[in-house]
Amino acid sequence: MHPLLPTSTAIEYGHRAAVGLERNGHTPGAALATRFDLEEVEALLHWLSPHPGAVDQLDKNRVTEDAAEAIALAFVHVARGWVARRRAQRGESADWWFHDSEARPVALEVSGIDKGDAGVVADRLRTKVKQVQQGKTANQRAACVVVLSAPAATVATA
Amino acid sequence: MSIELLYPLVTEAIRRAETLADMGAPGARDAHLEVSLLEEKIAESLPVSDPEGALARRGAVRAAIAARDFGRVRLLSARFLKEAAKSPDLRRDIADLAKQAESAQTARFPRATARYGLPEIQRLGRAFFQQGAPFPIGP
Repeated sequence: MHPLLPTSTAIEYGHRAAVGLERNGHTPGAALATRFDLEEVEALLHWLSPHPGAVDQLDKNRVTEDAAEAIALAFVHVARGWVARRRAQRGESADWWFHDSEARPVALEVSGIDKGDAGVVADRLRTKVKQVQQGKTANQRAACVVVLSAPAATVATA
Repeated sequence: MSIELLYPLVTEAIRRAETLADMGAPGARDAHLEVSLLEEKIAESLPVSDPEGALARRGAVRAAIAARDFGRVRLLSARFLKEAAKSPDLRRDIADLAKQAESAQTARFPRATARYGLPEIQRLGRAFFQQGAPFPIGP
C-alpha cells in the first residue's frame, strides 16, 4: 500500500488505530462511513485486537491522532490510489505528502477526534482545508477529518 | 543515500521527535537535530525546484530551530537562500524561519540581547562553541 512507510511505523499505527477504535466500542469489521468530496462510500475496518492493558500504556490524545492518521492513510490509498512519500513536520501546512497515480505530489492534513457531530466535522474540515491551502508547493492539497466514535473519515480537496 | 532510504528514516525521526517534545522529554532536542540532519541529506538529493526539495530545505531549518541549534539555523538558512535564488516562495519561507530563530534566541536571552545585541550574542556563542571551553573568549 505505502512502500515508503516504515514497517515499524505501520505496525504502530495499526496498533494505535486498534486501541482508538476499541476504546470507542468498535470491534474488527466495523463499518467506516467515508466521504471524499461529494462521493460517499461505506468501507470496512479490520484490525488485530490489542491486549486489554494496551490502552493504559498510551497517551489518549496521541492515540486519537495516530488512529486518525492510520485510517486516513488507508482511506486515501483505497479511494484515490495515493501512495505515502513521507511525514512532514509540524509547522508545515500538511502532515503527509503523497504521490497520486501520476506521481504528482499531494499534501494531506489529517485531524482526528473521538466524538463530533456533522457540524463539528464540517467546522474542522474547513479549518484544515484553509491550513493546507497555505502550502504552495504541492499540486494537490486535501484535508481529512476522522471521527473515531462513528467511525467516519471525510476528505475534502482544497 | 537514496530518497527511498531517507524518507522512511525521516518519517520515523519526525514522529519520534514530536512524541518526545509532547512529553517534554530531555531527548527531544537531540531528536529534532536528527530530523534536521536527515532533512539536509534529503535536500542534497533533491533540487530546489522539486516541491519535495523545498519541503526538505524548510524542514532542515525548522528542525534545527526545534533543536535550538541556532548556529546550524544560520548556516542552513544562508546556504538555502543562495540555492533558492530563483524560488521566491522558498526564499520567503526560509527567511521567515530565520527570523523565527532570531526571535527565539532573543526570547531565550532577553537581557543579554537587550544590552549587547543579538549579533554579539551569536558571536560569543560561536566562539564558545569553537574553542570548546568556556573561557577566555577573545575579541
